[in-house]
Amino acid sequence: MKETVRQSLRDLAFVNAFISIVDDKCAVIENVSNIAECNDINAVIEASGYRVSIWGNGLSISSYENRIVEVKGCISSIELERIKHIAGK
Amino acid sequence: MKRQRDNCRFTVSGAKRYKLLDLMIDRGIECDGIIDTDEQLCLYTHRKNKPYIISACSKYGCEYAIDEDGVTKARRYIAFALLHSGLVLGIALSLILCSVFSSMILRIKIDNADEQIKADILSVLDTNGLHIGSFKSDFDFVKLERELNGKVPGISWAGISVQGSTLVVDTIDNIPKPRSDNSRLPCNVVALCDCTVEKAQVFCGDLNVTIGSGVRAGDILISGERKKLIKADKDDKETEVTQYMRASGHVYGEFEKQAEFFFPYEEAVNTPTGKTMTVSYLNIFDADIPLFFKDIEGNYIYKAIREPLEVFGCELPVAITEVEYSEYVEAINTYTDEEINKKIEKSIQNYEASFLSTYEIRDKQQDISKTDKGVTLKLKYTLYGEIGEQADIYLNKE
Repeated sequence: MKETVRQSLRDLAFVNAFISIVDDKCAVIENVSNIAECNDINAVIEASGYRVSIWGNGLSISSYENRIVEVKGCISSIELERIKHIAGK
Repeated sequence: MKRQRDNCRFTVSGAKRYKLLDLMIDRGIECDGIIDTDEQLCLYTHRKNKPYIISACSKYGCEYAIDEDGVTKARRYIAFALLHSGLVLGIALSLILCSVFSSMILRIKIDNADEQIKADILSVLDTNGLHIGSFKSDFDFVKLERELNGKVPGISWAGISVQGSTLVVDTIDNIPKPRSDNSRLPCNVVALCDCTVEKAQVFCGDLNVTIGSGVRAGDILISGERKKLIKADKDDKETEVTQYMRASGHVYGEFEKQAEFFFPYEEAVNTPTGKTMTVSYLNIFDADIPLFFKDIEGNYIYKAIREPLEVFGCELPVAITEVEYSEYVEAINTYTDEEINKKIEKSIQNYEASFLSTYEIRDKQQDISKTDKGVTLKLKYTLYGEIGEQADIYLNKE
């Protein structure tokens, strides 16, 4: 019950981790709280309680206002992992 | 964020370099090309964000390096050119046009008031291939000067100089030969044509012919040269002296004059078709740039109206010329015998009025011969009138 209410509130407040993927070239992640890793093959971004790991090659990150991050490069896979606490590195 | 414009590249190293990214996300600082390689975080950001990132680096104890030329100058110029392609294209086009026009002749200025001389000079230049739009390097101006000096009547010297895109032709007119007054010089009265002398009035000089005699053209009728024998006082020896005078008088005679005319049955006449066409030209200096794309083919009579642009009463070298072309075709006009006869009569009247009005026509014979091509008219007049003309006597220097 608690989880359902929490999820509803998150939906209403638009604080979810919105992830948009354009082919294998670009992924836009919204409500980003932290960039944990950003190297050539892996970019780890924490957004709204999720750790989003993007794998590929030639990756680079662009950070925009309103906590939006764009990952460019050749994306091969995206992993999502729930985290309990949003923590910086 | 456009990387090309006013960006700088940060290279941050240190254990807490990721804290910098957290700060940037919190503060909403835009970054591009964030990548962590070999323990170094590289990112591009706008120059205005530089103070925040530097302060954050100091806060977290990170070492940083700023590369102001994160975008190379060449790329920046290319980006500028792409963004302002119209401007760059305009400048390039202007430079090309300037360089082309600077080596062309766009105006021909002739320092002479006489329109005929101007037309002759332009004709000689055109014959040698020089006209508006020609390239300066194609011509030997010394050779052209020689051509002008030799072929243009009315000038004694021509010099060509080039001032920018203007070809200046400087000329010196011929000095008119002073007309000598012969009224006090001795002369004879000579016959103009072969004739029979009928009447003579001598005012000065000696009549050299008898009435009723025949003379040939150039014979002396009244002589201005008189030879005398003079006796000296001391000894009785007579010496011959020649006295010269200005002979004058009227000598009348009868003579013959012939004329021949040909009247073809068929004659080419320009007949207007009624088709007219008005086109415009843009005149820049002496260059005519057509403001139309159609071809003008056929035979036309044209009428041009030039409207120069004026600013505060000062005429600019730019004008619009409207040219009206009227088409005509060459039609063969065939004359009938009646029309030919009318033409013959008219021609005889014109000839007599123009050339024989000062003479008395004593006899007129006309011979008309017809061929396939036309009619030939031969006129033979017997005329009476003055036949003498004054001719100067040239004296040998002794």
